[in-house]
Amino acid sequence: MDNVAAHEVALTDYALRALRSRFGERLTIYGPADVDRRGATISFLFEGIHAHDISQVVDEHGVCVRAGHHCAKPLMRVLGVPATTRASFYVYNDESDVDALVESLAAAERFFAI
Amino acid sequence: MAGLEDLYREIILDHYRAPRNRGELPTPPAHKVEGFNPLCGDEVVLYLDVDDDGLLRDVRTGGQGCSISQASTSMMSAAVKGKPLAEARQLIRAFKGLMSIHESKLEGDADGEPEGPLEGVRLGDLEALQGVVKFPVRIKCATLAWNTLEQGLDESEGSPRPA
Repeated sequence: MDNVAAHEVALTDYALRALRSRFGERLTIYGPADVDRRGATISFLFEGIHAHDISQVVDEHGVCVRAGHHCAKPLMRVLGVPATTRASFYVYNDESDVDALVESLAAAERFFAI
Repeated sequence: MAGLEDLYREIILDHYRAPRNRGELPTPPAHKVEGFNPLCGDEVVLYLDVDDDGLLRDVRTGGQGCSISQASTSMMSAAVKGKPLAEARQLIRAFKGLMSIHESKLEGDADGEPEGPLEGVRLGDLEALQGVVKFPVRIKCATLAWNTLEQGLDESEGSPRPA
């Protein structure tokens, strides 16, 4: 199980860095910045694009995320967001999956470019 | 296989980026009605100004949600603004017909013509939303504005304008 945990931490760290460096302030990531204090799930808001539109586009690119309230509507209200997109990782994921997520988000950004 | 361009037609994205008839109207005389889709959080607010002759004189919209729900709200407001209520109700029925799932439509067959009294109802730009039917989970996004309009018309017809 230590190996599983270590894999998750490493992958989450890679994903947080990749998302931040690619999208900067256009992407708001919720939860602790410290990977040791969070699980391998990343809930985020893409500026100007609703979570359901994000999930629709990344799905077309073969990336599966969850979008919506995540059964936590009061939290959405507190955060002041309509919904978030959530990506999660486990033993069967690797860095190429994170790269695919980043590329598919870039595609969504181009698609809905205002 | 339905692609993104079936769902997000250019005219839909245009309405999403530049929604028509956004704003509020004083109530009364206008009637305010809100619609929610609790599953996805889409929210539509409508202000309907119906005059004594049964004309939907003005429509203003608010709310938030995904591009389909907000574009559909914008397109609906443009389609019914200035129309007699009877015509608005015909459009509601025709649009719901467009959004109902028929196997023929799912297979890409375009024979899904409305029947009976809806013949001759022209949906115009609204037909761009037809591709939503290929994405069943998004149908409710497109129909929310129309269901809210129907509710609002029912309510405002049940309570006549104050003299």
